[in-house]
Amino acid sequence: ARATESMALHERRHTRVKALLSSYYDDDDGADASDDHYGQSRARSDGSARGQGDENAHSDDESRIDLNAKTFNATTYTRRITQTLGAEDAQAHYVALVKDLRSIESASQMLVYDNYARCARAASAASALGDATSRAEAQCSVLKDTVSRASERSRTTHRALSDRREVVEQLRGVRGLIRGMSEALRVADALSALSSDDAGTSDCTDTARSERAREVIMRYVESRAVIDALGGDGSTSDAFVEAKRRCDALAASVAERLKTRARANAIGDGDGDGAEYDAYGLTDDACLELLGALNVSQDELIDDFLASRAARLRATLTKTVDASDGGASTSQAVPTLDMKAYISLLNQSFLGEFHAATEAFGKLFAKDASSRPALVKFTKDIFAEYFDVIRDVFAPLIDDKTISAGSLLNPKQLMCAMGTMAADLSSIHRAIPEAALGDRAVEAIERAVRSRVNAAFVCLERDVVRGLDGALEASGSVSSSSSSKSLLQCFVAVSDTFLTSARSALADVEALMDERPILLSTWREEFACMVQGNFTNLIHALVARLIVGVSANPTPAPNPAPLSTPLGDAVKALTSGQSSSSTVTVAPPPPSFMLVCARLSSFLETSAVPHIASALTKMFPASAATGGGFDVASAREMCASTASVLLSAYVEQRAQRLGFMIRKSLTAVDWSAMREPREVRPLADFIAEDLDAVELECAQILDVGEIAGDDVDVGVDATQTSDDGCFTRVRATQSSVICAIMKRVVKSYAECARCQIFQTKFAFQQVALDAQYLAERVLFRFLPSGQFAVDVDERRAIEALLTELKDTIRARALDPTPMDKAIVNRIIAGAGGGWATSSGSRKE
Amino acid sequence: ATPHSPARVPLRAMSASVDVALDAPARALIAHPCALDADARSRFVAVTNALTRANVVVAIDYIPDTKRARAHTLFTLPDAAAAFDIDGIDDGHGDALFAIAYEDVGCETTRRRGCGVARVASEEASGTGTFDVLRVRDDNHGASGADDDDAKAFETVKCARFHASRGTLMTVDEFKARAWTRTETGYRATTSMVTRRDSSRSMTIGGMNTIQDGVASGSWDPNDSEVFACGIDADVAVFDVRSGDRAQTIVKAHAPQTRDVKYNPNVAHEIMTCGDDGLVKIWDTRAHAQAMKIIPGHDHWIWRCAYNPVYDALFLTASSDGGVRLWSDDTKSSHQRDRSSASRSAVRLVTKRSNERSISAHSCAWSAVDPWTYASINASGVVSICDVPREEKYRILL
Repeated sequence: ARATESMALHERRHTRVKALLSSYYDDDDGADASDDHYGQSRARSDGSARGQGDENAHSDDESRIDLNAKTFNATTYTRRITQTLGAEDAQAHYVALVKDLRSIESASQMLVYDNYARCARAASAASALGDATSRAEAQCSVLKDTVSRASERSRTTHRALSDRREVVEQLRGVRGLIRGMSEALRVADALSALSSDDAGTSDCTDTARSERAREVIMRYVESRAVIDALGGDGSTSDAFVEAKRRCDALAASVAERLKTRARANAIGDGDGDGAEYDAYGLTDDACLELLGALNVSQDELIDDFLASRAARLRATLTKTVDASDGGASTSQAVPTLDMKAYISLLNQSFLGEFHAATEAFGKLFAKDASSRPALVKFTKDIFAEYFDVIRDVFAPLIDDKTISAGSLLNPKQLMCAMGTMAADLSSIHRAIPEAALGDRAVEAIERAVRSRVNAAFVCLERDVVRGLDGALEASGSVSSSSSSKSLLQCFVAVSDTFLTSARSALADVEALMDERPILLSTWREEFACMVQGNFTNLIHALVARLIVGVSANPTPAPNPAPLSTPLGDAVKALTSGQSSSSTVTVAPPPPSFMLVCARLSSFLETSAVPHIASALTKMFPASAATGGGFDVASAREMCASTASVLLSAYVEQRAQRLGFMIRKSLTAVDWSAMREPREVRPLADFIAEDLDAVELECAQILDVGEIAGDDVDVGVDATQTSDDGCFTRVRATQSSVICAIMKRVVKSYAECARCQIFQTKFAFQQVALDAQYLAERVLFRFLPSGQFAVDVDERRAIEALLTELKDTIRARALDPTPMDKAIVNRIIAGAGGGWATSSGSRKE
Repeated sequence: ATPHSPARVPLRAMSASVDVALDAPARALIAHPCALDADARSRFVAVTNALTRANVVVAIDYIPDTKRARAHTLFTLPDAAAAFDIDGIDDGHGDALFAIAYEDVGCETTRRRGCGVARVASEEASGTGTFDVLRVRDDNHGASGADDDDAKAFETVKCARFHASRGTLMTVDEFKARAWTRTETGYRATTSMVTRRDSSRSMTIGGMNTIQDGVASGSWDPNDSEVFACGIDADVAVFDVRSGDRAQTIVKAHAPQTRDVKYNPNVAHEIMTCGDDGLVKIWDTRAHAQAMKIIPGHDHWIWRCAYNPVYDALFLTASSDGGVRLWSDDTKSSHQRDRSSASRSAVRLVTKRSNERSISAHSCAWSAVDPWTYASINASGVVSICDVPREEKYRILL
């Protein structure tokens, strides 16, 4: 409470002082204010005179009013005082107030004086500080001058010192040079001592010798610069020139010796003739190191090294190959050469050698970065030879005529060997990837597999060609009756050959794929294409071979052989052998061979091609699914067409031969001089003979009559109408073929007769007699029995043609007087009897 | 179908043919060379080959609208002349000239052939006209031994052909190919070329004078007025009248006998040949080592072939297997481009027609008026006139 009281007191005092000061110093304001206060108080006193009594009632309370209160109003206060207090009291109050005021003023004056003293002291202190600062500044600038002068002086001193140091350095260099020169002059002697040093003459140990040699050489290397500089061209110092000459010569000899040593040791044949090539007892490494120090290029050394290694590797190769050739020549006959063993033998010796070489190389020349390309090149070269050997062994040239299916490599063994080779090479490939041995190995494998497949096909084709040639030869003799080998046997032989060879080719392909399939995986599709392409080529080439000499082409026509394959060569030989004239006309093969070929084509169509196709589909399901590869439909179509073309060609050829006989028999006679016929001319017998041969051939290889599935095969028959006349499609049956030939014979007879004029009665009679004989006795015998529906048509057609023949002969005669029937019959009976007995005996 | 026929397409229904029987054997048929009055009928000319009665040149008129044909005799040949070949041109004055090769059947002991030119007015007057027999011997030069031989050689004549524009007549006998030019007095041989280099044929060979062997039919090159091609034995010989020599030989075109050679009217250097091997071959005369196309056409000898004069993709063959076949070379028709399936067999059999008894067809010809009409003649003298099937016609036209 006291604190608040004191605070309140202090506050009161402060306000009072402030008010007093303001009233004291600001007179005008105070006067105005008082004037105003007083004016107001006056007005109020006028206005409120009536309420004086009420206000007097509590003026005592108001007289104790706080001057320090904020609400203090001087006017109100004054008025109240004037109203409440009397003059004396007011006087007293006034005096008290003035006293107060005076005391406050004095207090404030005291304060002012007090503060002024302080201020004056501060001012004097500040001025003193300023003086001190300026003094210090001056001293600093003096100091800076001093310092800069000092640094200038030190720099000068440093310069002077460094000049002196340079001189000292030069002097030291001169001293070194002088020492070097003396050393250089001395090193020649050391070198000469070294070069004359020999194992034999020296009694120190090898270690000591080598140490000495190394030291001398290092000394030489150090001083070489000096010698080169001073004794170089244009030098005037004879001593140094001489020293350089000597040093160079000696160093060369030493280097030569070192080289010889290094070469001998590195390349050495392992005969331990190090003594011969001793070089101061240095080791190989040291030699090479010193040589490097002597700045002798190692390229030559590397080349020598690699060349000697290559020679050694080559020797290994040839040794192995020779060794295996010795076995191979025997194994040609007995194909039991184990390829895997062979390749591991080869790899063992060759790759072992190669490993040794690379190891030695790495040890000797690894430090030299430039030696790597040489090594890579060496690897490439030597492996090219290696792969050549591999190729020679595994991919033999297929031009070899002696090659046969039996002597071909077993595909399993081949793949085993290839796998072994690839595995063995992989480590080298890892060591020297730049040589791309992996790729080369894959290449070699692909080449081997390809050539194996090609060789299989070449063998196949060769077998087929051989079979066909055999058939050709045999069929040539078949028509001359008493041959032991029938056409059917020819056909069976050829088709068996084909099937067996194709099967073995397929088996080979399958074996190649089964054994180590990883080796084929990268080019499997290509492999499939190759095999399928080979089969397609085979079929096409075979068809091309079959139709040699036939003028009409089957549809689709076979592709020309793309490569020189045995079948293609056979076709070429057959077609080009005849082209002496400008026109390419080929002598047709014997007709019986054509029959065999026709049968073979239909065999291809019905059996071989589907068989191959299904095997291929099984083997390469992917390419079969995509529709690529072997086109069965077109191949079958081609074979079917070939069969029919060949059959027609056979008929045509037989008919042409007969037609030629008929033609000659009619044209080579002077009909005008003909006498009365007494016998049948021999033409009919010739025809009978030929037809006999045809019948024999057909009976050997063709079916008797209607063959099963014939109607399915000949969709054309549906459209066959009477517009075809007598000449219907030739089918692969005995009766169809022989009827077709007979029809052509009769037609040719009629056509030839139509071109003649039979001037006399006898001429007509003779021709009519011949024709009748032919019809009744010859053709009749070959007519089909009529057991099939088609045969009836054939009979009818031939009869119609015979009628035309008779009509023609009559039309072309000037005097068509027929012979007496009885005589005709007698003549025919006589001739027929004779013929019948002869042919009968023949038949029996 | 032939077994190796390139056409496996089902044959279209036959448009019926119109047959006219001449009642006599016949071998030759051509289109009438003269422009006829404007009733759009096709006229063919056939000549009979009877031995024992008079032979005639017959005109067969075919009116396509009514599908009827009518035959009437144009001209009667002299007795004992059995004609086997005929060719004709328009002489420019409304008359038709027919070169007729005939067999002289009047002689009892020797066989002789001859050739004559008949002039026939194109009017309907039948049986009128003149017939000049060609003679080698020129009266102005007098008789000599050489002329005698020449005349004898000419008795083996096989083929007579007019050049369509120049009027030159070419005859080919076994010894000489002769070009004849027309003079006021008649035809005169101006150039003669040796038929065979080796002269292997002698007059005495009996077969020499039959139609079946030796010289066959031929034709002038329409693009070159001096070149004539002809089948001789198995070969095709091309004669050049300017040089008077054989210009080219296609060796062994058809074995054993080439029967006919035709030049393509629209494509220079292309010839079609046919022969006894039953094949039709199409050649480029500039490179004739191999035939461009070989078509197994027939089962027996093919006697004649004929290009359609307008659409050379179409051609006819007439064979002694009794068939007349119409072929279409699809590589030539522009329509081929969008038909890949037919590309395999370039030449396609369009129709085949054969008489029931397979009587040999000896000749065929296209109408001169209507490129869609053709006729054929068979040995018994039946002329069949047919139209190209409508499908084929549209295939080419559309």
